[in-house]
Amino acid sequence: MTGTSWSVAVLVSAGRHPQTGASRACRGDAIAMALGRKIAGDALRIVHAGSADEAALKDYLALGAATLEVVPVSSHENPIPALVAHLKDVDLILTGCRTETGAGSGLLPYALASALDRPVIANVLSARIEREVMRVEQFLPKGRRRSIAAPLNTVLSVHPHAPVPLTYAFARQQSGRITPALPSSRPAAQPENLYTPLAWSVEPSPRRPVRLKAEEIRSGHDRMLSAVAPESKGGSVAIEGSSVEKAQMLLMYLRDNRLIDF
Amino acid sequence: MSIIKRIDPRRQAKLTPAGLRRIVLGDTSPGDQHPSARATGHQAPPKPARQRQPSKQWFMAVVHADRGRLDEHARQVIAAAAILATPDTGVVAVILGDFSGSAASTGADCVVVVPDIDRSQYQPERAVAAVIALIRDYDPQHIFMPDNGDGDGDLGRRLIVTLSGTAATHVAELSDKHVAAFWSGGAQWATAGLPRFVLLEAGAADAQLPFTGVAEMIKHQPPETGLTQKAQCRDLGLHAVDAAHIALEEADFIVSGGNGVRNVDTLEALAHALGAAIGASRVAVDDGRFARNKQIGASGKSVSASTYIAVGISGAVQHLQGIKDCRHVIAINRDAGAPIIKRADLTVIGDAEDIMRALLTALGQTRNVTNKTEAA
Repeated sequence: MTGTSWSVAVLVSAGRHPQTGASRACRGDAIAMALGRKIAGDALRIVHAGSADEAALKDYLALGAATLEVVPVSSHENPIPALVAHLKDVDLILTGCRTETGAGSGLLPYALASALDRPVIANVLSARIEREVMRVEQFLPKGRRRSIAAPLNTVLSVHPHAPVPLTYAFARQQSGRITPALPSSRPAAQPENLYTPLAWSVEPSPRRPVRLKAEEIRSGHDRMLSAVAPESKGGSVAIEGSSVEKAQMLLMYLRDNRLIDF
Repeated sequence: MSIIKRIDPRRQAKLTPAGLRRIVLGDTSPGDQHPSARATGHQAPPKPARQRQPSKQWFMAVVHADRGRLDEHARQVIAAAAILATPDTGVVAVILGDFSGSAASTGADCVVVVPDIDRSQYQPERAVAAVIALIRDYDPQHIFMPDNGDGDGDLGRRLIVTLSGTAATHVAELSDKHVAAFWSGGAQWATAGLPRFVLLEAGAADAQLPFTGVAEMIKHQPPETGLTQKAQCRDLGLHAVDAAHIALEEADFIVSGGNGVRNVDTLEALAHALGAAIGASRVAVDDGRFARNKQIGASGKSVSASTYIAVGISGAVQHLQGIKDCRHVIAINRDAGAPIIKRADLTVIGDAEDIMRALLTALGQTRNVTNKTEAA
């Protein structure tokens, strides 16, 4: 697929295994990279914003990246300005849904698209380019999928269920290269549309979240009433009638609640 | 004279449904000693309105309606806004999509329905423009949204970057002072002050409220001026994956069979006619009538379908545990005393095979009628 007029880049991050904490390629980003390779083949540019010494980056080489460009960004710096400067000439940008380390807010594709003034499509399962128009399939819950026609210069965040193969090869890990990205002329001013970061304080040990409940001031009488009042609710019960009538009643219920559309 | 307060043994009392006589504490109304008044005596009293002064400021909850109703996650988000609101704060619920339910029980004081923008169409620019116009109108202190994969999480993130406000996503815990979320895939726990945009995970708040809202309904037409920027993406339509090929956890419509189903072919035909996935109870799976991966319940799968038809399932606790997130449960059962009847929204008592066959016939007739009207 070389020689095409459009370029594709994928953003990858350092991941960690959710149970063991071992550093690895971020699962979602690896899937985004596989989808990018399906679209652009070897012409896919793989970009990491962060440190080039990250051990997890080797995993991406093993998963098919021949070269990995690293845009130097320190961990407490906002990566958006550097990424905007680096990716402004790239047509299609792919990302994973959320990172495995840190906040994982899933805001980066939106912030990047907003800074580049491009459309963004989330939860992408597949993308196909046909005559300068991209056909995107979007994942929706409850077994639904949506097809979208999008221009080429779009930011896509790829859903972890995207049907792409992930093949790990040690030989590729050895032959691949991690190169620092060419320094680009950084914009002096920060882009306007940046979400304001919150001051998070992070604890290493998670605890069970406390559910927000309304405070209820009840008198002794109310408590007594709720103790003696019957608990169960139960819906309507149809006992009488023939099975045809009962089936009609069931169908009416489905139709009244708009659960079937015929 | 003794200072010990004497208790009148013949003071007011109520009779419980079990026939026990209960003394009523603090109730000064004439007690209903008549057994005939028992039925009304035990109904929950109407909930009071959330006490408040005229609204000086607003909290906003933005949710999508699902088939004219609000799902549990959306109700939790509006409830969270109502719980955190101080007496002089109003709660405005923005409901995107056609809405026909009652909103007072959600705790909202003002309900803005935008019927034009629903989940069936992909129009993010229009949705963002409509919500931003409403945010400009109300100028809310905090905006609460569900963080789901069904449009709300996407819209919320678009709003966050467009309005560049402080934001927290995947919020698992919140109070009037703080929000907290899991970081690094659950390995870390991060807390921060309550930001302007709060995207809530399911289950972060309790949707049951001891109060109601005023729920003044306002129909809102999204301004066409918000469409100066032409939509760059074109929606080519929704399609559903064949129910037989998706995981049971993801299915929206499940027909499930239990010990009362003797003829599995009928159940499969019914599931096919309704476009539903097939599930089963443990007994039916153990019996070899269904595959193990169809089992729903404590030792099987937990499902969250919006429609669950339980055919010939008595509803053991373990099974009810697996279907606790289902919205509409319909039971077809021969036993009118089975525990599933307490859980089901509609129960049909009768022979499973007969009712399934009648339902198949009825479905065939409606299909024919619909096809004929469409053809004409």
